[in-house]
Amino acid sequence: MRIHYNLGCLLLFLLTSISTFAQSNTITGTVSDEQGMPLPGVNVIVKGTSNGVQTNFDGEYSIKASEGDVLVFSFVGMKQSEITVGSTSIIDATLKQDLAQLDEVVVTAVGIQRERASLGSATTTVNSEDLTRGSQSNIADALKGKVAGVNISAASTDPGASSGVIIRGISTMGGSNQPLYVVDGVPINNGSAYSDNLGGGYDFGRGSQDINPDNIKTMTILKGASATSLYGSRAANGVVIITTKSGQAGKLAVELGTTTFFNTISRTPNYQSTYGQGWDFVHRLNENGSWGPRFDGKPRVWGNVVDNSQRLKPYLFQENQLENFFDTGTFFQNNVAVSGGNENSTVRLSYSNLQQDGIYPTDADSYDRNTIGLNAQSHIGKLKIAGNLNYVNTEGASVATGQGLTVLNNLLQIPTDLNLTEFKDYNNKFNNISNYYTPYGVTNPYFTLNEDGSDYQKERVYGSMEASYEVNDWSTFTYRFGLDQYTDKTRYWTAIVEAEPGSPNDGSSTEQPGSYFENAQMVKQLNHDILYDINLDVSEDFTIQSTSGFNYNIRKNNYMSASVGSQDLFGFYSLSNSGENPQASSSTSERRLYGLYNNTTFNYKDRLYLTGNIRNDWYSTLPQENRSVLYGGVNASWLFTKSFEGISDILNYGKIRAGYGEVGVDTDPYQINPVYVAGSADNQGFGNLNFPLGGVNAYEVGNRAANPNLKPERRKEFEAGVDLEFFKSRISLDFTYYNAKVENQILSLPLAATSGYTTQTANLGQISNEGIEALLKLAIFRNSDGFGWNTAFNFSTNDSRLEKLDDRLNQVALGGLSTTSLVALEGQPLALIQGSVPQTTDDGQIVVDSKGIPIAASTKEIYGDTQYDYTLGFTNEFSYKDLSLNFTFDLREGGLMYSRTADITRFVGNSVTTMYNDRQPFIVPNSVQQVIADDGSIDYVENTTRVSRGNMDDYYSATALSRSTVIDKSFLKLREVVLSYNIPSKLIDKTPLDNLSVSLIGRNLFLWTPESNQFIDPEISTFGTDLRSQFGEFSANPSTRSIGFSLKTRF
Amino acid sequence: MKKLINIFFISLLALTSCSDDLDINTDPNTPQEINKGLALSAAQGSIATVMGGELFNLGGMYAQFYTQAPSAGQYDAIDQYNLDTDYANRLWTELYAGALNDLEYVKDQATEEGDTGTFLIATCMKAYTMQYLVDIFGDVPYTEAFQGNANISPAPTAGKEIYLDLLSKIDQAMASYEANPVNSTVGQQDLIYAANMDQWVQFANTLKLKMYLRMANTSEANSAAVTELLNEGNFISENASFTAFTDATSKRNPYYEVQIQALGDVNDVASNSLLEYYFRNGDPRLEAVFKPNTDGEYIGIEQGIGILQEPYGGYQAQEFARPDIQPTTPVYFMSLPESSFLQAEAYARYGSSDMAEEKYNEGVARSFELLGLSSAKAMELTADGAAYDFNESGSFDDQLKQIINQKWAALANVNNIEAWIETRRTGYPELTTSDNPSYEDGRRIVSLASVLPGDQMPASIYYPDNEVQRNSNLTQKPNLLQEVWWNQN
Repeated sequence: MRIHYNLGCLLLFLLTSISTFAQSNTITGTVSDEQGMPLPGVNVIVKGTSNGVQTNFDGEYSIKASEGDVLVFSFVGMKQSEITVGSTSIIDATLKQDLAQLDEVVVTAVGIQRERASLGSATTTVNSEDLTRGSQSNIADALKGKVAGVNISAASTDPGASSGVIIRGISTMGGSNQPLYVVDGVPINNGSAYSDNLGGGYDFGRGSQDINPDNIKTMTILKGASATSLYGSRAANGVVIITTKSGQAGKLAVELGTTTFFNTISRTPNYQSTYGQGWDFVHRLNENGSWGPRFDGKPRVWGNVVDNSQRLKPYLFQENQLENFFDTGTFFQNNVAVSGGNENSTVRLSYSNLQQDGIYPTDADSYDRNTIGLNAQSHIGKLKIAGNLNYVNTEGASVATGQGLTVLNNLLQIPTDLNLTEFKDYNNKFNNISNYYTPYGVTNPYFTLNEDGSDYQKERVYGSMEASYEVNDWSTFTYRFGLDQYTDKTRYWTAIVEAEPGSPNDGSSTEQPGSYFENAQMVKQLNHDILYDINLDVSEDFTIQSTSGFNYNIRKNNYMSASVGSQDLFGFYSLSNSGENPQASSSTSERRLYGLYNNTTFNYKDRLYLTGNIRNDWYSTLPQENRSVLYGGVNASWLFTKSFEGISDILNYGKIRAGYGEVGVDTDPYQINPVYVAGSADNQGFGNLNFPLGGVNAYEVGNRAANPNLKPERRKEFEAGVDLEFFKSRISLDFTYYNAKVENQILSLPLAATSGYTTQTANLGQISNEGIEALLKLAIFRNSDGFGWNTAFNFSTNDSRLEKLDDRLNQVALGGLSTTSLVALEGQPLALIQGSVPQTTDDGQIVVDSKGIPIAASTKEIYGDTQYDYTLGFTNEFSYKDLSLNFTFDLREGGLMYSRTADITRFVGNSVTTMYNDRQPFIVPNSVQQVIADDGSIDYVENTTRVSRGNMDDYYSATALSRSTVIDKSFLKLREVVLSYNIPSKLIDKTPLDNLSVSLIGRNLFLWTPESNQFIDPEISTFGTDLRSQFGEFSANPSTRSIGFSLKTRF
Repeated sequence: MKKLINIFFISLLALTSCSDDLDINTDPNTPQEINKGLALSAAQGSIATVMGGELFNLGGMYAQFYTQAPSAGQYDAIDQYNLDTDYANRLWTELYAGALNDLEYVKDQATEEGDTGTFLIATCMKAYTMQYLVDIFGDVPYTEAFQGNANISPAPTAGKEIYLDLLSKIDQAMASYEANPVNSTVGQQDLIYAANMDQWVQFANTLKLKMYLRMANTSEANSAAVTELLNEGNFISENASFTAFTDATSKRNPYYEVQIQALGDVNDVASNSLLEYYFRNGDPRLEAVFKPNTDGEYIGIEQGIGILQEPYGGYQAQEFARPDIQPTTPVYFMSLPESSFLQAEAYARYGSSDMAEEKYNEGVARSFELLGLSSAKAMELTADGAAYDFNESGSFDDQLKQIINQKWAALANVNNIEAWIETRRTGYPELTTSDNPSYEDGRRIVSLASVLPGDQMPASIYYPDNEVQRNSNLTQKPNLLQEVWWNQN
């Protein structure tokens, strides 16, 4: 039905727009601001008609109008101006800055529009221009460095990989910390399709990246609970409110944009260049490491003897060994949008296509996305009908991360003297599976790259429809329906790795029977909102705006997966290509939510504002007794520059604000009742024994104990801040302090297995987040001769802490590995890395074993926390006439992360960090050996055993020294550089184009990291993009730097 | 305002009429009810996975059937007697929260239904499992365990008390079954004996014998009970084994699935302690227990030497003989040879040498049969003057040594953890120095990679970290040298 309506609307619009071309005189002119700077993009419309145009980059317009018509000039942040057409055909207009510029309208919760001045909590609005300047394909990436207090982490720069957004720190250990995304008033799914399987992880992105940034008009980030409580539980981590572009009244406008990027590898681990292939200081030709002798440059044979022949090469370091493996990746994105309309109806239709191929040779890492969006609205008397519909289709392929036979793991274990491109022909007799130089659990990376793989397909439809009726001049009734539905399918496979009988690699651990996995998922969300808005002028000085509403939300998920652990035919991948019966599983889940809410703002003389929120939710996921949850918030703001207008020469805008709010948070479905589960037994962590067996099925008592008393989590947040603008807004400062607590953390309580159960979903602790966000903008030059220089500093700190933890639990395990893990401890910053340390004596001396290598202490210790101490975004924008240069630095200081890239390159002796004492034998400083008497008593004597050259590898991979695999994740990045040129309109006068701009864009051009990080770009993670990602990376694919250009035009 | 009121009214109406609409929190992916047969199968699967997987590997190393290969290092910590405190997390959880908790469910259901047969099966399985927990860990939670939320920190019960209680629980279950012999209704869902109650009674008797012999060196030794069991003579007549494996992912023999399928057969190689024993005695079990290296030879290494630098640096596992476990090799809970050797020891200890010899010879023969070898060859080896000839006139200690050495050789690849526990109880095969082990006599050495002082060897293993962290009533032991109750003094 909605589609029909929109098509009808389009026709209507086309008809009306044709009729508007019947005007006679052409009026031209320039629109500028008070300083005389031309204003591009100003809407110029003949009042009372649908005849409208926009000014070009030089502020010029041309419109047909008759004498007596009134031209209306309007622009965001400027006071609207009306000029009646007289006898002259040139009409220049000057728009004055709207002194209450900040009466700018902000879309807040449930689509409620409020003046910015009235907001008592920190909100940040990013407009279309800022979002699309860098031509990012993913809205989360487009926000990077632009919003204070928001931490955006990309899992990787792999094509289509997800980016996570965490606002004001970690607020829940058990659930998601991602914000709620609301598009045109309707929540959409932001689930992530990734696997952190250590032996083959992948990431196919998040729901939010199905939104085409070019379709976004504004994006507003609501951070505090006092602002977000209207969305209920789902807004506890903040809300990203997206308003999409709608058609603009006026003539038919076509926007075109095209972007091309070239991506290259930006960082590889730093290798030592002194020692080559071998182990224990012996030049063994089958070793997957560089523990061999010192390079001598002499010709030596290498690899296996095949058919009585062997290859020869000089024993030398290979410069840029890893870089040589990778290609230049490409990225192409094209957008087109058509829009128009008249005063009553507008419509916009957009299409975008994105094609990306990553830096791995072949198209094993790629991402394609097509989006189609239709947006239309119409006023029919007192009724407004609006709707939008989006179809998104994505396809991706990714190269598995992790250990085992993954491409990168194969690569990182190649000795520093072997030339990777030698392996390219992986069917060559020296390079094939049978004769590849090493049998030790790795194989030819080109084989893995070409034969293993994965793919992902997703079809998504989302949109909303809305009907609102102006009941009278002070109230409106609205019904809004939202739908978001997608199906996706993920497949991944590994090839049969089989060496010929009798060949060097026959019987080695590298051999694998192949595998195939497939899953399909259907995710659906339905959302109904009924709203009643009141806008009452009680007196001249006192107004009330109020919204009451009812929300009904349903989310459903159906999942099916099947896999086989072997493949029969080589090169064909399927469930049926196996002697095994597939292992299959399926699940379905559904949750529902009812909410009843009110939001009311009292406005006194446009300077004092008080807003109250109240909401009651009923959750299907909680026990009946705890199902109904009431909460709310209050915030106030005072625009004190209106009260003391005398100071406006210095301080032209000043606002103080404060707010307090609470939000209830429920949990996933099916957490409270006991369950029986399919019979299965954990087999040493390498899989399970699964029933049915021998035709007998089994069910067992599940390991999760019931919890009929589960309560919702409750977030309580206080915030206060100021927004100040000095010297006609040349300096502006937004500053916010916040302090949030999330009580009754819903977590899985680990139970002692002897109780008969291993977990219970329980309320276990309290998290606090305290921090500041500051945004300082300086307009350093703003001269009318055309030169401008704007600078912005975007600073934030956040301290997440696990304030309290239930007595039954001494720490919360959040993920990681057995030697090094991610944990939370009471009273400590949230997410700590814990790992093995050397055993020491009471005097702090290190205890070593008989090889002189430190022994691990029996208890693990905390290495430190994973939080950044602060983050700073630094943006500069230089402009001169039609040229502008914009660049953003991103500085993040502090925090630790685990790096498996560090771990493995140290284990195999490739890393430059394995060069202590130039690999000559050494005694671990301040070390002792323990002597155990027969009676069990322990004594210590000074250690005189040097770590021998043969034991050097054992030293670098000693459990006791696991700390070396954890690095400081601080960095400074030149995140984005954009050089733009707007082609002067006189050059395109003869073309149908209204404007044309060209940009040269660079991303991640430079990366500085501290000494301890000789390995990776510290932003990457293989553990998703939420709390667990804080742990670090497990052989993540390398990150990229990009250079490209974009072209945008409009006619 | 009327509209406003209307909206609230409509909304409230929607809420009240839809309160059932929120009652959707029952997991549709799992059943709401199960039955005792399904749970019994699951429990047996859990026990088979632990006995045939993690404990099979640990026992294989500690009984010195296998040792860690050079060029790999998955089990260095085991072979060095340097286990981490988190080593047993998974097996402990699988037994307590998996098998044993399911068996509680089976017992409850069986009691409710008056099914004395199934109750006896579940009681036997529980006693069998609990005994291993005591034998491996020492004092463990028992009387306070399996109470869910009611007790999340079950205090440990003394091993001796657990043993005595298990024995009395078996007796009670047998008595109720005999008083009211309801055959178990679980049928094929019993993956050991297909609910054949006669065989379960035999299992109960054999298990009791095993427990009494474990206690033989303690003040709880009970010769009368043993004699009564011998007189009745109703021991297992068929291996108590879990055979339902197929060659498919997650359905294979658990040791095979991990060692050979997942890890690539690169860690466990033949230890000379066992390989040389078979080899030097001309025992054909050599070629049934082990598979040869890539050159077709049966070469083992000294226990623990693979971890050291010399002399095998760079050698791969395929260059040595390795345990020959197949995807569908059964997991033996109790085997016929084990039963014979238990009886042999019981006769040697409390009865006649003649009967001891008969059972000893029977044990060797049954071991050959279990491995698919001819029992004639076994009889050759046990014939007068042959390598395994029983010394019927020897002292009890001499006879015990022979019986346990043979039991050890018979348990390889069959029940490795049982073999290790018996070495601890009896001290056989004897420990000797590594320079002249004369393996044909049945000898073990201290792992050459041991981190323990002197000639000490693990006497039990650490409680798992997970349990110690979550159970405030359980304290970790200081080291691996803590003896379990039947080995104290």
